[in-house]
Amino acid sequence: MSVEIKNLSYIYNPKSPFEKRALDGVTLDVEDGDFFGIIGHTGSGKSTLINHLNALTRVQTKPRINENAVLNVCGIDLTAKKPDLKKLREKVGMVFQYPEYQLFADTVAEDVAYGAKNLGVDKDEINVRVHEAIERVGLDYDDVAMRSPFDLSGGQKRRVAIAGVIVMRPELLILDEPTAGLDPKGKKDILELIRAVKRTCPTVVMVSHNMDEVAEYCNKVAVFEEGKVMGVFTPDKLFAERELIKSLGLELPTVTELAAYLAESGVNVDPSTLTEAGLESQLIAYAKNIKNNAE
Amino acid sequence: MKDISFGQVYPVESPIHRLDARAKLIITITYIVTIFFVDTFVVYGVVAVALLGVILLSRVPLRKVLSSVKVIFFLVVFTFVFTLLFNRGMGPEAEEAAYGYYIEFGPFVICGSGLINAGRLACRLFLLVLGPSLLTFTTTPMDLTAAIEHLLSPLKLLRLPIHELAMMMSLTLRLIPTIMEETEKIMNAQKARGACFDHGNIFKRAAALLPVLIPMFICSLKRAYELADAIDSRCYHGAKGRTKMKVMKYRVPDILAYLFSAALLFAVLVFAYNWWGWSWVAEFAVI
Repeated sequence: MSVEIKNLSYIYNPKSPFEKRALDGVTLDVEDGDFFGIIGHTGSGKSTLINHLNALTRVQTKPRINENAVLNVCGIDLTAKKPDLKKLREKVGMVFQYPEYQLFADTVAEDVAYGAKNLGVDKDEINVRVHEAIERVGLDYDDVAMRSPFDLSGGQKRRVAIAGVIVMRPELLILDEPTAGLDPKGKKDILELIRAVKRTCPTVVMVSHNMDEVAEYCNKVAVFEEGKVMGVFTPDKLFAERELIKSLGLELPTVTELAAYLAESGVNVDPSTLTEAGLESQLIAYAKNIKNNAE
Repeated sequence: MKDISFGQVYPVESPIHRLDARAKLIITITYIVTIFFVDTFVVYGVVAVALLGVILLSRVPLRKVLSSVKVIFFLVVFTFVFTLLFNRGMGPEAEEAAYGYYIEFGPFVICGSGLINAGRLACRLFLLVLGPSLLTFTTTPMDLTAAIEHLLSPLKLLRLPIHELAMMMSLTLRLIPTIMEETEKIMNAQKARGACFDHGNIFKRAAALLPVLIPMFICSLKRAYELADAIDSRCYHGAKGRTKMKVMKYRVPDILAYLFSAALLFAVLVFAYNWWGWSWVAEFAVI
């Protein structure tokens, strides 16, 4: 199991007027090989949770709220006083929101190499990894490697930033809204890229606001609301529970909404279709059917 | 980094929070002046009691106000020890006669006057920090800037750009928390890439900060350009012909507060100079 969380809580600014319970007894499991989605409103505790997974936020001990908490990431116990952070960060790669803000080096190659250098990988190995990481995020090594990262376009910068994380060859990749602020084509490209990366990094956790992405790419989805997990579902189960979706103020994927509308108006399609491809094939079948009937 | 308490408003309703920012600023300055006239422990006690009363009235928890002293704690200890060790008082014989001890070792001396002076300095430093920190706990940076602008407005006659300075100040104050948040984000991102900011010697640490500083500069510059555009697009053109949304107006509590602070200053001056030669004042304020 990649991630095991039991009864994890976190309070910001305890004992002050700014006190805020960001996590409230969270229990979650992420299995090896999952493409795990986390959805919920802004301030529902998603970011606090993923910061725990990389020990950027440590399990809170004061006030005493985590006495029976379990937080196990890639076999490392993070409730321990001094876990091996270096090993943890080697295993867990984290792509933050707007990761292009983390770029700093003179050249793309240098920037991508930063993580591997910090891990103490030797020089030849770094060069191999950097080359591989840049190609894997869909950029041309010979074209970009020696350019300044600040000269690239927004989408390219984001790719470089993601390359800077996968160069560490993590076992678990965490992404915090990887598509925020991109145009539709950029979004699609980044998601396809993540899907491709998943072939070498088996487990992916993705925080998202976008139901379309979650429906299309994730195999499991956890729903967060005010620091609590409202449940873990497969996408088809989740979006079949219209009442829950509505009560949490979430939306259906665009495709599902369209399918539901079509089904209601008498077109013979499954109202809980989740992917564009799925709806497309159903519509083609429907059209053929009509044509056959007409003949 | 979220725990920095200095300069953070404690948001409760209280008579102190409601006071006019100008009054609070002038009273704080008066308070600082007052403290410099105090030279005995008894009078420090009087000032401390007055301050305590104001803190209670402000409904900011005492512990929170006291925590602002943490910043200068080292300074206070340092001053105390040095004053104690190097103050020779009135000389060996007189000190021996007055306090009964005068201990000399090497270049250092411990004597009665030294101890008293060191204690007074410590009291002065503590009180000096507590007062202004109460001001920042009860006044938003915006109000404070408006007050400063108002109080400095006579300097406009000398063609100093007071409004622009105040604007710069309020923008700076406004952006401090934003930039801190940004720093934390970037530090986290680099930590996730295996960076380590608390290992190695000072040069190594400084070098380790580079991947944080460069993105910070870029973000700050970018934000400055965006802000300038936003300000321009709302037709901002400086102070000329600009009116205030919140017009500051003195009310009865502000006058009372002024009177209170003036009374405190007056009392302290009476204790310090004893103009009328009252014997009880002389006896009261011996140490």
